[in-house]
Amino acid sequence: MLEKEFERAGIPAVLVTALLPIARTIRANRITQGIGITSPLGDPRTSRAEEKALRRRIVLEALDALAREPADNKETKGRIGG
Amino acid sequence: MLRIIHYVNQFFGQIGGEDKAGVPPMVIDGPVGPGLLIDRILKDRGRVVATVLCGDNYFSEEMEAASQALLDMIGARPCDLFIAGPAFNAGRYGIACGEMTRRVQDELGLPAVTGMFPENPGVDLYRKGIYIIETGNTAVGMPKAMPKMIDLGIRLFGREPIGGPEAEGYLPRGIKQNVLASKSAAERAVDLLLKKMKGVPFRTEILLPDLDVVSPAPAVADLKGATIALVTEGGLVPRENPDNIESARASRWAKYRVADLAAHGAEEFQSVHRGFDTVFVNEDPNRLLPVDVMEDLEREGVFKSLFPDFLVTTGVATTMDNARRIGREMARELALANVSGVLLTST
Repeated sequence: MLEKEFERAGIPAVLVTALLPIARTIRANRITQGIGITSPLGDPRTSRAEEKALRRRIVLEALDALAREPADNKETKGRIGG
Repeated sequence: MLRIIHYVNQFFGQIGGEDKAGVPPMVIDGPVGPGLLIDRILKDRGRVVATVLCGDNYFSEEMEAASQALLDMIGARPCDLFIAGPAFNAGRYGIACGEMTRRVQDELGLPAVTGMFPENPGVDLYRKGIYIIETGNTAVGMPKAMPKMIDLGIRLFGREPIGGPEAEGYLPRGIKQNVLASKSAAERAVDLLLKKMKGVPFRTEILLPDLDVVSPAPAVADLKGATIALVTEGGLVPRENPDNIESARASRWAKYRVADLAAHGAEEFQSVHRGFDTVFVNEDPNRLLPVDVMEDLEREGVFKSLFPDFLVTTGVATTMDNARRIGREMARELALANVSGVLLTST
């Protein structure tokens, strides 16, 4: 819900979450898929270095979603797991 | 004697709380938790022959595989009626109940019922195809909800005609049905208009969807010149929780220094969110709020600056009204600071 109020106020906001069905239901404009529900930006099963690299990739995808109009935004896909 | 199979999550299945939300699908003979109530209500009219169960996170993350495994378990047993939940206002549980009710009904051809609070995200996703009895927002509503679910289920099983949503207590499915009215449409329309003008309560005959579609904000034109703010609904606060951010049903939000989080991490910050297992986040808050990566990217010039505060609230069973107000208040703060874009993380 928060992202819609940011967008309503004219500030682009990207929702990073593993729960895509909910993100779609609330009709968020910009969505980037996170890794897991309990760890949207990390994967505790990997090493700290791998985890950070993965996090960096998702953050870059999210920033990219902010820099594009949602019309040409596809939901970006992180790795599902955790 | 009606043979019922009942779906519950790890919590109502008495396996455990958020720490057990990753348990895979399983089947248990007989009733568990709310299933005992089903048996009590039915007395000798029927009983729960089996309980199928899955952790909420497992279901959400592996929806296709989990629902197929559960469907196989249900299909392998004699069953007259499928009942899921009720899920009240639990989002992941609501989606699981909706998906299972839909698949059991459509693919196994069994009568199926679930129950949810109207604001549960599962309602919007599944209301069109299934019967969802309206419940309160917490498990306190169980004694009221379950008899309605069972009653509707028994009548679906008996192929009895089902009335409109209001009479039956289920959430509107958006289906139009012809009924004979005593007044013409023109008269009814004028009646409605007069009531509206007088400020008297009235109810439309055609429910308009309340999608609340927000037109997208324009994209950040120049990322290299942008200020990006981090916001989370993951309840990440200093250990002493100085602003008393609620663990659930939040009415408050707060802001803290990104620099403090970057410097002290898990030593000083923890999540008070009660809607997910916080072990991983409390081990390394970057897994919720990526300050390490954001600081790297700021240094590398990918964007100009990271807004020095991060904004936080707890998103679990929050009312729509509070969520919108918190969002508006946060947006005002960020707009005043000329923030160009927001990265919002959600569990």
